[in-house]
Amino acid sequence: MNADNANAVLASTRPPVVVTEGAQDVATATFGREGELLLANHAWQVMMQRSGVGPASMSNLLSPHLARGWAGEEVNTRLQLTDRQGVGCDYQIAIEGLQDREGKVIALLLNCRVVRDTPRPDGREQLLQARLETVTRELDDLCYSISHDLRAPLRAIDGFSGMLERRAAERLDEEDKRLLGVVRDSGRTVCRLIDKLLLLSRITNQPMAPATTDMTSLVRDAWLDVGGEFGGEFEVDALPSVWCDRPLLKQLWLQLLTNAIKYQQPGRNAHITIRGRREAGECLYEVYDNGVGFDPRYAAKLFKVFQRLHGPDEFPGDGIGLAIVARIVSRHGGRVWAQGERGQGATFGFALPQEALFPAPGEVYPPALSGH
Amino acid sequence: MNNEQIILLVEDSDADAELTAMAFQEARIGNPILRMRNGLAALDYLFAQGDHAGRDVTDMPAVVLLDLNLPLLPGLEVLRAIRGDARIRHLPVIILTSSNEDRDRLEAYDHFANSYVQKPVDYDQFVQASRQLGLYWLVLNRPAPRRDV
Repeated sequence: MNADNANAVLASTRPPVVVTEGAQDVATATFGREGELLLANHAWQVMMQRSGVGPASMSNLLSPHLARGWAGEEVNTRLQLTDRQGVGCDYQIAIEGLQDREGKVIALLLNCRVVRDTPRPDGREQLLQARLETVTRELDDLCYSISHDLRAPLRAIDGFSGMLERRAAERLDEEDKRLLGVVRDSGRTVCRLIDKLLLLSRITNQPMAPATTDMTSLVRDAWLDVGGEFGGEFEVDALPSVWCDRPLLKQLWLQLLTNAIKYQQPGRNAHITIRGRREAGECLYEVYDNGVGFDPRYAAKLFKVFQRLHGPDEFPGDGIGLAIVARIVSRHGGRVWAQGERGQGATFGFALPQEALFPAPGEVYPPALSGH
Repeated sequence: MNNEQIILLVEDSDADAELTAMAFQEARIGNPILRMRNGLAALDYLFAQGDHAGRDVTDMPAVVLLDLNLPLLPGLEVLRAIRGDARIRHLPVIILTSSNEDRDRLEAYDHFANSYVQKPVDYDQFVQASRQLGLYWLVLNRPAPRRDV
């Protein structure tokens, strides 16, 4: 309903209801029977923008209070919301019914005032912000140096030991050659680890562009990249859509699917299932496999960088995949878990907040009302 | 292939320069490699000035292999100077670097690099890359004709 319609509805009631802008620190909104927003002042829009709460969530939060309003109660309550920076903020909310001449409630007027404000950026905040930016930049520069400067000596180690191997081929016995091989392999391993650390650092630092994302199609998309050689059964349930950065979540699925494919139990018909559900304000996703599993005592170690529960001769890997998963989930304000038994398969799961903790830049709710 | 035309390698690390020379040799690319240790020396050579005063400026290398992190004058500044001078702006310049960072690749192409190659750490791959570079830039690629300026 647009503002003109809303005005018409309100104007048709007697005595006429006058909605004023009022004091700018009081957010005022008028709701209709279905919980729809009829009118809101500027302060309401500002409040919605500041609180990190999406429209659907706000409507859920308010609905019990609105219901009391419709039941004829006068509501005076306090609501705590978390803003985009994750700082709690208390709002005092008052709801009263707007009645027509017969005394029938035809709309609810909600006044909302900030009781305990989030700290405003003062000198100290700005200083911290500047410090944070400096540290981030320094970290970026460090990663850059690592990528550029550490590779050169590694290339020299590999190149010159290779050259020595060739030039001295006739003079070296098998053990000498094996030793040289160890030198070259170690150099290449360091290089691979550097690349993985850089990937992890990029995942931590790259800017996010979150949007509502269809997880089912994202999983299928990731599966096209890594599932080609998989000979077993692969199954994806209908997964709940969620507010997230699509490229990062694709990385996450690539890692989880690669793991599920890799750690197969020899001689067993491999089976990978992806399930998802909504629960208590979160979207939960789980990858089940019937592979080799792991010792549950070490489940917490799995998500740490370079921690592995299998030897490289058993399953190749660098111990970075699940660290990447954990990093991506933590950037979205979610959590990860792993369950498994040796030889009994494994379940890797993560949960993301159902609603945006961080609305996309420029997202304004409610949409600007005409006449404002 | 014109075996006389030199490859100009601008590389500050001795080890990397030697490795590159070895890799090109192993890839059977016969063109002589002339190495400059920093950006200024490279420009002196290309513009026939300083230590290279009197050299025929129209006698151009077949290709320039340019590192990004260089003392005295960074690789991108060398590239900018090359592209800014009508006499040598068509010179094929390949960025040959350890970095695979997006920002380096972007800046290199923003400065009109012809190609960007990350030096492989694995020497065998380096030889392979050198062979392909030589085949493309010294055999297949037809450079711009000389022009009188």
